[in-house]
Amino acid sequence: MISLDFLDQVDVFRNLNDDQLSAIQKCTEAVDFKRGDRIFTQGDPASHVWIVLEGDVELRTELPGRNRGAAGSSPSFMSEAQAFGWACFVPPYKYRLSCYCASRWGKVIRLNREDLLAIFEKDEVIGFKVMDYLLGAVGKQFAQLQEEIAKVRGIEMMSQW
Amino acid sequence: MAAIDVLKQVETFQALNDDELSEIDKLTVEKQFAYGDRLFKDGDAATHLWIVKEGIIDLRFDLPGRESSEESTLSSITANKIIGWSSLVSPYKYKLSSYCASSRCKVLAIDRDLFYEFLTEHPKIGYKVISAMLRVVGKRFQQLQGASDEAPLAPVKVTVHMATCGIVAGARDVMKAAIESATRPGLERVSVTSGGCLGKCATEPNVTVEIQHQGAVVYQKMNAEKMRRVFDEHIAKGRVLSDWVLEGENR
Repeated sequence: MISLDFLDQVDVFRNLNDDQLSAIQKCTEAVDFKRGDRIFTQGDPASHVWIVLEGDVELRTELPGRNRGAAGSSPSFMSEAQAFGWACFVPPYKYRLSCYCASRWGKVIRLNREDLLAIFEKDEVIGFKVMDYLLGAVGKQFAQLQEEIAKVRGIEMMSQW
Repeated sequence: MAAIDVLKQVETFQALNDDELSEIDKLTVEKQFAYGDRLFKDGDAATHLWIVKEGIIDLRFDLPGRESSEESTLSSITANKIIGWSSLVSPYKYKLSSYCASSRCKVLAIDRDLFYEFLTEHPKIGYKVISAMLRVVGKRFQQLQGASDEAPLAPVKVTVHMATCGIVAGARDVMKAAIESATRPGLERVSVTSGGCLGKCATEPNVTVEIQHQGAVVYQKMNAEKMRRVFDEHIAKGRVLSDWVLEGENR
């Protein structure tokens, strides 16, 4: 079982007390991967939130025909105690990137979406705190993307002066 | 329309019952703006969440030393939608500037600190509201990213001519259809704006479509359904609907 000490280090569960962390702990499951293994694929139904326990994972876009040079299309890497997979709480509930194990060995925790929602419904304080963190994380990514797009469009506009 | 009736239409608050909505209602303050007025600017402390009650609010990026214009509009927000979610996300600064883009705009402003304090004290409401907010922001993010991934359309400007003659002939419905169509994924580079009379009052409502590096096309006797077809065919696929053209290509 994943320790409370580890869960306490995960940003998305910050501000939860031990009782609340224990509720989360019950729906964790550790899964092992080796380098190059695919953890999920872009477009798959998003059924889990994931947390890196050991090693590194890479998140990247790979649908054919996509503009790889577009804003926000660079791959990103996640390491220990970082969480990803917020798409499971946002329609259409599909992963928007693919995820691969990027280290020789990796261990990842997965938390089933339905189990988490049941915990949130039962204890809204946990739900509020977790969703509030996720809103902050998604909002930050959104703001970065807006800035990149605004920069590209600003350059285009200035080049027309 | 009373503020609470507006709140009921807002996606973020749709899971709340009437009692819970009444509590949120107490936090709102109605404000009014005229065309061109700025609600907030890029970099300002994000002190308020805003709900559009009437009119159209443009979110724009400002360029240094240059007047704000529709050209820099990233999205146009219509009634019952929320803007200013940066007020709930660190570092609590607005990332874009917002301007009233219709003759009059009415908005409901909610003080960020009071709102967050209320949500924290009422976690049942807080959970519902923040979950819904995550869905809204996440969906907008995915749409923006999807549009950025695809090869972008050339910038498009759609002008609905809304002088008195146009409004009498039904230009408001045409404008509404244009705004709704422009929010579809992949059309983020389409800006919709209102314009004056073209001197062709007999053919109102008139709409001008300008695709970068192409000539302007003026459509005549428009309605909401025709406006949606122009988005589907002309703007998305490059096929001018020549039967409806007053001036421009193929005429």
